[in-house]
Amino acid sequence: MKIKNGFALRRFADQWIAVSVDELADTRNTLITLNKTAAFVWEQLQTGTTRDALITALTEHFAVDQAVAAADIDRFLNEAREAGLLDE
Amino acid sequence: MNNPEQLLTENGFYAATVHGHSMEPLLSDHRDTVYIEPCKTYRKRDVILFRRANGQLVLHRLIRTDGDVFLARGDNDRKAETVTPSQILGVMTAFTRNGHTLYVTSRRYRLYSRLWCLSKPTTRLLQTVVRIGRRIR
Amino acid sequence: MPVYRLADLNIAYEPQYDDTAALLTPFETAGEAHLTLHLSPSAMQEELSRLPAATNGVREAAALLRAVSAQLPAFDRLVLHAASVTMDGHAYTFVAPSGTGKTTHVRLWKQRFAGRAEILNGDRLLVHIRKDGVMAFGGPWRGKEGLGQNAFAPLKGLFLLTRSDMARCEPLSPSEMLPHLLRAVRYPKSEKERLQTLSLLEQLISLVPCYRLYAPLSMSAAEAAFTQTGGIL
Repeated sequence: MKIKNGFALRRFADQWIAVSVDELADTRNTLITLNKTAAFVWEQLQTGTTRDALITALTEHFAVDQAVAAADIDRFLNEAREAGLLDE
Repeated sequence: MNNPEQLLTENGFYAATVHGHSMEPLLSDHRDTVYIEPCKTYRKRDVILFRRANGQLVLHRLIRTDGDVFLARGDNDRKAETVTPSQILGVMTAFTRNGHTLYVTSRRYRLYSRLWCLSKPTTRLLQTVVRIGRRIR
Repeated sequence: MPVYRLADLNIAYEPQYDDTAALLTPFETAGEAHLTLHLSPSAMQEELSRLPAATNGVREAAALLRAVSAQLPAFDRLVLHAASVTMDGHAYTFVAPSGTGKTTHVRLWKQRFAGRAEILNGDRLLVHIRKDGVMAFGGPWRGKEGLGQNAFAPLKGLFLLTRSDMARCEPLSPSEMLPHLLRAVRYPKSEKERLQTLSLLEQLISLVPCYRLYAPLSMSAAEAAFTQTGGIL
């Protein structure tokens, strides 16, 4: 599972943004604002990962339990999927 | 064994002694009593009585209520679990501690539950998807 | 070829139609050009399809706006679709989708603060983003009502305007303001230009406080905005 190609992740003031830089992509007019945790997840997705690996990564890097991490990851993935950002 | 669901329907409330340590320091094992009432809507930070799939009765706090599936966790627990509204019997409306009865609507209690929830770490993933349409009218 | 000074930048351009020349004349300058603009026939053709009922002058002005918006970021400048006022030596600018009431709002400023406030521009603000702050300029594109002046002032507040029953003004975080600013600027297609514009927007937001302004159609809205930024009524 990967985030679609053609996005550049960069800081923007207090948060992060993922900017579409591919003029030909369907997602070319899309920009996503992300907080620190979401940017972390986005980075994992840029190189390719699985739902379970994401949950593990979250619980390891941030002091939270698995159920909370799983609920958050699922919601993130659903929104990304609906916005046409995921390659599965 | 009493049947909480039945008592809730008959009397409109259910009182029980607390077992276990998962809701400490608020509620002490074998010492404190909780009053449960049926409820239509649930809010974050409500303490709810619910039945797990294995039949076990659990008294924990709701930490996430947006979506079809909620998350609940004991104040003294690390792990949260998913709960559907259909599993919930009712919400705690009052409890006794050391002989004193405290209502959940009291300021002191509300402050406690708010601070307690704030002190727990969360991974809230925040993202907004923005579409920029072609413009310059 | 005439040279016009827009946002402290000298732009050489030969107007094709009298109407356009009239818009630009107040900005004529004697200095050397930093940048020379030509409008290609295809640029004019594009405006024809966008504004089929407009006069040639209006179309040329629109095409010129498009060309200027594309070139300015390379000079640390941006064109914002916003209505702006000057007051007590500072500029305040209001962004919102068309039809929200930006023009009405700046008119209310002028009414409430008669003598102190002037409308800097009713449609397009030019800004120069510098290390020490942002300078706001009224340019030649003034919207249907033709509101604006050839004036400039340091930009003190950037407001997202929402219609509301009650006047209220509260700070807005950079990431909340960003989507609205993106819709108020020309969002480039190419990667390089896009990242350049985003970088300028980031600087803009870091230098100028942003607010959400809940504005009824009354002078209380202008008061709320002004006092929120530290102004004394």
